[in-house]
Amino acid sequence: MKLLTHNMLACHVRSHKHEEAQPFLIEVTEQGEADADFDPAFLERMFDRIVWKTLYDGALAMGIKDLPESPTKALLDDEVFLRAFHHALLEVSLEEGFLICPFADPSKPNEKRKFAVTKGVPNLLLDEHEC
Amino acid sequence: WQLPHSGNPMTPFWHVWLADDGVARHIASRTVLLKGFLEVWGEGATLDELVADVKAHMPSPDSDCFSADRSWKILLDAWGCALPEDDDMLFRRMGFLPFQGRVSLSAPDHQFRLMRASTETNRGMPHMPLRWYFCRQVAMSDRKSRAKYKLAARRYLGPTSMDDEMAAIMVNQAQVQRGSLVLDPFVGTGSMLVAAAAVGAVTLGTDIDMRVIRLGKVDSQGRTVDLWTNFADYGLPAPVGLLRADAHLPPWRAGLECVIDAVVADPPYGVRAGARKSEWKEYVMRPQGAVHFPATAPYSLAECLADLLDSSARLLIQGGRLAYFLPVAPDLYTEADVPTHPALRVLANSEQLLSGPYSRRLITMEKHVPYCGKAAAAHRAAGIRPSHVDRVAEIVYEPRHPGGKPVDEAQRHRNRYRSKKI
Repeated sequence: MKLLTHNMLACHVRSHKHEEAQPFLIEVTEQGEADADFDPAFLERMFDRIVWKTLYDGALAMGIKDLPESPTKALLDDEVFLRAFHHALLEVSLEEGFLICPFADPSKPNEKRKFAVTKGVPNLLLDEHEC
Repeated sequence: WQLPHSGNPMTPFWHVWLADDGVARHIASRTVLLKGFLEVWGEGATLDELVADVKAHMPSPDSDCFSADRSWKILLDAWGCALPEDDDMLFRRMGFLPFQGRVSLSAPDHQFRLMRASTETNRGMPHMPLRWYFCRQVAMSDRKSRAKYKLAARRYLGPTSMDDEMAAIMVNQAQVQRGSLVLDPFVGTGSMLVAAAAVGAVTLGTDIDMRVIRLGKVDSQGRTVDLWTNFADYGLPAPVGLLRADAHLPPWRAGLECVIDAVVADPPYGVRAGARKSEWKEYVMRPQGAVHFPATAPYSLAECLADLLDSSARLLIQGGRLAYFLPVAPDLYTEADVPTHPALRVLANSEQLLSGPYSRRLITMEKHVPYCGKAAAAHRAAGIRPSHVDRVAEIVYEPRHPGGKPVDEAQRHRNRYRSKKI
């Protein structure tokens, strides 16, 4: 699963009361990397569709430190930025690990709902009582 | 567009005006249903009429086609009938064409077709009076490069993998381009995402069935084959995400809107693949670390389609398209059976006959207005209109009337073409 996908997801357990859309935290057990076609036009379109903070935090969890924290649209002309954006969005992938919901039930503050990721596929199916 | 000479919309030759050859070549590189583009120099009910028409409309003798540097070839083509036996006579009749270059049968610069088209001897074909055409071949559909995607050669398949040509048609209907972000919410073995990736799309899929998308199969040589190996075999980039998720309760973040360029979907009809969704049940204590497989509940097709339309209406960009198959019983189908949504409008609806009592319709929808939560909720609250669509599985497996006359399938199809309104 690439970070572009992670950007679109959020925990949907009905009883979790999230103040606002909170992305999953990423716990990496194994990650992979594969080359992807560099397409600046695609990156430009995605820049408007993603939540940058989610990408930034997700990239840190995957060991990528070269993304700016608050980029402006003007940066889309900068090849160095585009390459870093491209790499983080489309080239690293989470193979094994967990997507963790940041919500903490006050009665069980240390238990977080974890969704397992196996062979690159996150299992986001809810248990019956969570629907 | 202009109807062909016979005025019958079911004939294969339609007239269209395009800006230039380049447009035709671009369309031909993607098209599955079109055989190609031919520039008509003349047509007629008899050879004499044809020759007169070509003489009246052909380009001037200094045009590139006739240049001494250009090789050429005329192909004699019979459509739905046979050519008169004397080929030489036909070539002689066209002898007035001022070609100066040499003939090349293997790789001509310009290729022409002299066609005789008629359905006089063809059973079941729509009626078309005899017509002669003389055309310059502009661009033909690229069937060779598509052949490598044939399902027969694909290493990982499932019982409902979409046929590769049909997947390409759906991808074209959804106007997928290079760099489009395409979602398949019932991805299964990934057939439709393969077709999307083949034209340069970035792909994303979800499915509720873990076995299909994660486990794959072991092939005859003991290697694991799965969705990922399919993409690797074709040299196509793998999907950016494959998720085990429920289309009824999708995992998209709140406020995720206008992010997907196209949705291509083949929802579970309930005929060869059962449809399931998650359902609420009370919490049950389980031992720590025990593996739990959440129970799923039956998912009616009508509800599944309502969810598909609503998700698509939210996720698609303005002008983005949804292409999906709707299973129907042709004897019971009416246009009112096609699901609706306030943010989507139907652009196309084409039927594919599967068997006697069962067909499916490729529906193309476009997001034509922004998604409005209130309108969508009101639409949903109005209830899902009952239709035979939910009973398709029953209808398909209904026993034929015992002792009845066997249905002549060719006759049935012929009647369908004759009486059907387009």
